[in-house]
Amino acid sequence: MPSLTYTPADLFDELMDSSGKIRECYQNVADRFSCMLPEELEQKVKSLELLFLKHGVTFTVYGDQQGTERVFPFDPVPRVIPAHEWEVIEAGLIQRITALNLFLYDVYHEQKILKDGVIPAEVVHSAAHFRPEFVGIRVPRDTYIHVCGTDLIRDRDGQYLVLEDNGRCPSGVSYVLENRSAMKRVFPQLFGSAGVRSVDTYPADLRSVLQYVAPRPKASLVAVLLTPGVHNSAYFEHSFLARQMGIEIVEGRDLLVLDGFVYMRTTHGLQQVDVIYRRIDDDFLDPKVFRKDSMLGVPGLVDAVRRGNVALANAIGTGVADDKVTYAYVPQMIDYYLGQEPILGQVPTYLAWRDDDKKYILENLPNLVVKAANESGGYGMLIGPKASQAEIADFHDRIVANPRNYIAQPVVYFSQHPTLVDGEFEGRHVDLRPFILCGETTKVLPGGLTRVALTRGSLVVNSSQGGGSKDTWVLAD
Amino acid sequence: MKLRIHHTTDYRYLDPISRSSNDVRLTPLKRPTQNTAFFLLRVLPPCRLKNFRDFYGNLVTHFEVEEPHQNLLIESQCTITTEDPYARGIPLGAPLSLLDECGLLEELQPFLNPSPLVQITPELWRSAIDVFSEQQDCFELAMGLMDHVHSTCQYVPGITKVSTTSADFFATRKGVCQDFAHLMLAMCRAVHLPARYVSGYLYDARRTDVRGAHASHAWVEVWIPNAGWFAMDPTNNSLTRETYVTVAIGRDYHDAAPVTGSYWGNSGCIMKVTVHLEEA
Repeated sequence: MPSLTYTPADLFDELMDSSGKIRECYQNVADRFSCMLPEELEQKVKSLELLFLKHGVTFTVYGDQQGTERVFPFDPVPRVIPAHEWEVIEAGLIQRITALNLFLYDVYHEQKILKDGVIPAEVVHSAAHFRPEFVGIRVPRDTYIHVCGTDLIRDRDGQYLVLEDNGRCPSGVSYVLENRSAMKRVFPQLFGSAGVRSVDTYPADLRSVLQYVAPRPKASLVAVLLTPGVHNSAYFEHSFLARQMGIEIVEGRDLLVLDGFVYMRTTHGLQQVDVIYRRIDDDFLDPKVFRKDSMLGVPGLVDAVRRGNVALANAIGTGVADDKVTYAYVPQMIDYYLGQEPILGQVPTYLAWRDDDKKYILENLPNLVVKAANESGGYGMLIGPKASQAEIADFHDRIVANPRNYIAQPVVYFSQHPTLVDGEFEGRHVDLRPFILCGETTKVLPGGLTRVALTRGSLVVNSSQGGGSKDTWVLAD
Repeated sequence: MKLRIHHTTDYRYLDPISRSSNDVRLTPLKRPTQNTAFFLLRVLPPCRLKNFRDFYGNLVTHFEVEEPHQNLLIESQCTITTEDPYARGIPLGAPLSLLDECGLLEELQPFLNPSPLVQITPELWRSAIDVFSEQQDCFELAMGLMDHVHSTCQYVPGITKVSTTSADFFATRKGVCQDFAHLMLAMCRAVHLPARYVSGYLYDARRTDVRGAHASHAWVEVWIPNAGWFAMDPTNNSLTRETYVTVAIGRDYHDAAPVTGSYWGNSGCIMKVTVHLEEA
């Protein structure tokens, strides 16, 4: 069998240290893979694919001609995170999400951080996902982001940096659970005494979060998962989570609002709904308030939320916290609300909205990564060093036309991880999306979605852009 | 021992109050025998938190809520590793004669004199002297005083208040951990043994008869010449092992109180405190 090692690039390598020696946390995995025959590995990869297909672990690619639903590519080499590294990640994420939730409470109430001049008021008021109509409305338990998926990368020195916070409807957790269950079936011997922490509690933990934010304490609480429907790219995940939590999955047309209360149509008549785990963006939630053309939402839902008769997870308006311009100010938030230094670093960010920064960005486009402030999924992005002249010129014009909507960052090369490519192991870029739940306590799922850019040298790991995923192991002490 | 601590203080005012100003001492002190891996303080409604070190070296977080509010939540989370401060044995062998020199050290002055809640009455002094006269060794003297306080006082919640002084408690001998600590402080100071107040947490794995476990707890540290500060818990008549987490120190409760503050407004207030400790 080809060994797991390869020639390391000039980057942080997850498997090997700078001298090419395998890191201690990977020893177990490396030993197992190196004693596997090529045929054996091939056969295992095939069974993995079959498993994912049978389980329907798919995602949808928008704007693709050939059948929109695809199996999510999976790489068999697990990503391993030792306990001492995880401790830092966990602490840093809890700190960050706590600050973001306090920030949201603040911008939807007194806006002290803006009045004190710590964050320019324009940043918030110009954010596409800021909902001024929700200022002064209290949300259950004063929590806005209940589920957060924060993307982390590692720089050359192996430091974990936050790349972005996803505080609207982060997806991917179902792959974390499915990847683990597939790995356990296909490579049972790999787990042995590796001391991998379990990820199985996620659906139960998410359910407790939903219970915690219910407006009324009620023995038989009704929670539902609201999906845009089967054509959504994350529909697999929606149905998976609803099944795992034992709650109904509903579309907008399954719900109705009467006199400020939300009801679900069932075969036994109407049933009152207390909590909605919504996987629909704010814009589509309620045609009476947001997009008039939304066929996905529930007319009157926002009114029910305002009256406190139903809880939404995540709350409305969280997008102002994961706006890429707001991102630049998270260290200031942590200092302001928590009186602390950030535990996790983040990528330096230039805001086209500031004149000095705009000048710098426009002059250095070929060396920068430019992102649209409110896009996700790897859309609306320019990677300077890999872009053509035409693309650069296009972004130049777009930035000049709408500076508020663009930010730029120096290119941070992600860390590299052994990945199976045509029967050989090669280094590919990876990131990490851990999932954080904020209920009575804040919990970080010990694991996460490691996404891998399957194309050599590519930095785009989004599934919609040809990325795959790996099982992610967090080791116990 | 690795411990996880979750401490919430929830104020509910019956009518909205116009503003409040608060100081909290919830960040555990940095010491050789305890190492904080994680600490987070969350305040709702959100406001700007400012940290400073007070005269005794405690980390104080100050914040003001400037808008009318009816609830105030102060929540701290902490993961800390503790070691047994007595791992290298107990500091016997300091004769009482060395105590005379303590008075010459400026840093010990605050802990030798009475303070607002540590009042030394003649009766209290006489009891202390009775214990003192039987002892030769500084540490044994402290143990003797602790034993005296523990054996002559009863743990009865609900009788004393935060403003109860050592003299008041000495008269009734019924109270809670902070009263036990204040009385022991008064007796130590009466016989010129420097002693300071400690606020913190006590973990009890078995959740049995240990007093003050799973709540804010208070105990005492005494100064042993040539050895340093050593902690004792008069409420439980025991030395403080690795199950104790030191948060703040001072002359008495006022200097080390976990949460203090004042508010503008004419309203009653209900305070709910929960402390949860678990082994991590």
